Amino acid sequence: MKSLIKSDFRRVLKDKLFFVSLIIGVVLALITPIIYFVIFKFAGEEVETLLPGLITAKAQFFQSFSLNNNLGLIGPVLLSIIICKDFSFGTVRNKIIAGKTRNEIFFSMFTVTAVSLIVIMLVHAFTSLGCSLIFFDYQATPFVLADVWYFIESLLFEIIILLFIAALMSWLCASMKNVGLVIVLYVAITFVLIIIGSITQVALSIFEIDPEANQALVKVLTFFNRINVCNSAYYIGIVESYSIKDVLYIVLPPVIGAAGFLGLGMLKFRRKDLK
Amino acid sequence: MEYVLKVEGLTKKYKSHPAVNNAYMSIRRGDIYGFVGENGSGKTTLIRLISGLIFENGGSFELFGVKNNSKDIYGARKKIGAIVETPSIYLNMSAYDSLKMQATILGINDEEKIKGVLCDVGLGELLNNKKHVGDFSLGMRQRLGIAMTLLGDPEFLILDEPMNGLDPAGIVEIRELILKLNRERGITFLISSHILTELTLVATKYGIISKGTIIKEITSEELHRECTKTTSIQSNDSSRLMEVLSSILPADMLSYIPEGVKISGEIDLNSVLGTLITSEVTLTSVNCSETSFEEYYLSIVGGAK
Repeated sequence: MKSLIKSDFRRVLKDKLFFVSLIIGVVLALITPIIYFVIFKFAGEEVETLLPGLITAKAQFFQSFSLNNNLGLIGPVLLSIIICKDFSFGTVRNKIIAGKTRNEIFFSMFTVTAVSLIVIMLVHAFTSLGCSLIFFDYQATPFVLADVWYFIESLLFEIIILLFIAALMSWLCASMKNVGLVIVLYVAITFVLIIIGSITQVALSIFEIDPEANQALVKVLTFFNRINVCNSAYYIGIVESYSIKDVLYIVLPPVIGAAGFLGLGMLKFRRKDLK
Repeated sequence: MEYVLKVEGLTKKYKSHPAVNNAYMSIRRGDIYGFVGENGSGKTTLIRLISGLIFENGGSFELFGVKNNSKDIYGARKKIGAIVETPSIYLNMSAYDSLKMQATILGINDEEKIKGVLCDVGLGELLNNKKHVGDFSLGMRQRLGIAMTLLGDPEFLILDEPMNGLDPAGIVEIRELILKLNRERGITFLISSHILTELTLVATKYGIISKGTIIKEITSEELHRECTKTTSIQSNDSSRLMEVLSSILPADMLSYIPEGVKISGEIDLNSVLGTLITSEVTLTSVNCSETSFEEYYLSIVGGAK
């Protein structure tokens, strides 16, 4: 298993696409704070009304993890291409012929996908944080020790969500016949989740201003809104502090989803005929 | 005799079509097993089954005495190397990096070994070359593929069409490499090939597959006997003809045919004819013929069809 993980990391690091992903992550991370700074320059004091809560480094940092932004899509897509090369080049055969079990191969693929994705997203997020700190304060209120714990807690939640994405990618890579299909399905799945998330958000905001709204429906919509993994990242960094309910809503859906995709992926890969 | 591979009734179906159908095969340690069959006969499917790339619908096989459904099969696989259809190489890496990747998978951290296998397959000059494998010729990829299989010190090498894409010099090099590895390291080979004449230069045993079934297994000695030269001599007096020939040739080379005798094997025809003439045997016809491996193969496969 150790040798497989080592070889898979080696494969990712030897691939130019991985560095392309990092560069895209850095460039995108630099663009957003700069744009906000320019807007801030022109709009002056009115910027808070235009972009409420976004003119802080903290907001920029947590927003950069969103699965709905550019890198949330480009990162996993580029990484899928890298990971799936093992299947398109047929090099996965070398691992099986070398006596590695299919479970080992699958978990190695998942581990490397997860770590690579986390690295890409962290580079993106910390570049965004660094760049934002040049222009803005970390947050509106003074930075206290409790903020360090909040930061670490939020970072762990983000990593859990990225593990879900890595599990989804691993399942697709292990199940599909080619990388094109993996990308199409990944984009389709995340797109559907994002659309559902947007619809529930809009519906909830409409119901919020309607006192006669059906409360049972609001509860159902709220539940579906919170368990949507694409929305989980949205809630990170927004609340003042995380309640138990927040933690459960943020952590459970991606953990259950990741376990499900890993289980499905392993079952599929264990009996998959390889060309 | 220790068997490296024993296949018993192996079957693989795609939907309802059997790609491998109740196949039996046995390869002893030290054999160079030539695996012959027409396109789509099931050669590669059988190799994939043995390599663990696909799963059987019926039957079983033993690799180094370990059953395919045993947990120990993963350990047994560590003793094999295989190139299935095309070499599995990282096309976006250099030859050295590809080998380094395979070495990492195998848990080998020996630079000298990587250099050694590259030199063994005649690619030593690529050691410091950064050219991507994707830009290599098919022949170079084949050699690199073989180098990758050699990294794990395999006891059993499975090569699916290893001569594909090689130029004549490359074919000779690979053939010599196979013979050298078999002779010096005792590596057992399973080689599938369409180039039958090429197989006859290395194989010690053959398996002929048609429509997913192995219809004939034959040793090179048996094949040699089947494909040997024959000389048919006819005379008005077959008994006298046989009497004279028996005095100058071993009995197992001689057999009666209508109005004459058939001699199987290499003979000095001039000397034999001279003896017959001096012995006053009246000859009516002399015919020499030779059955090639191709003709033999076609007769077997034709029979199956």
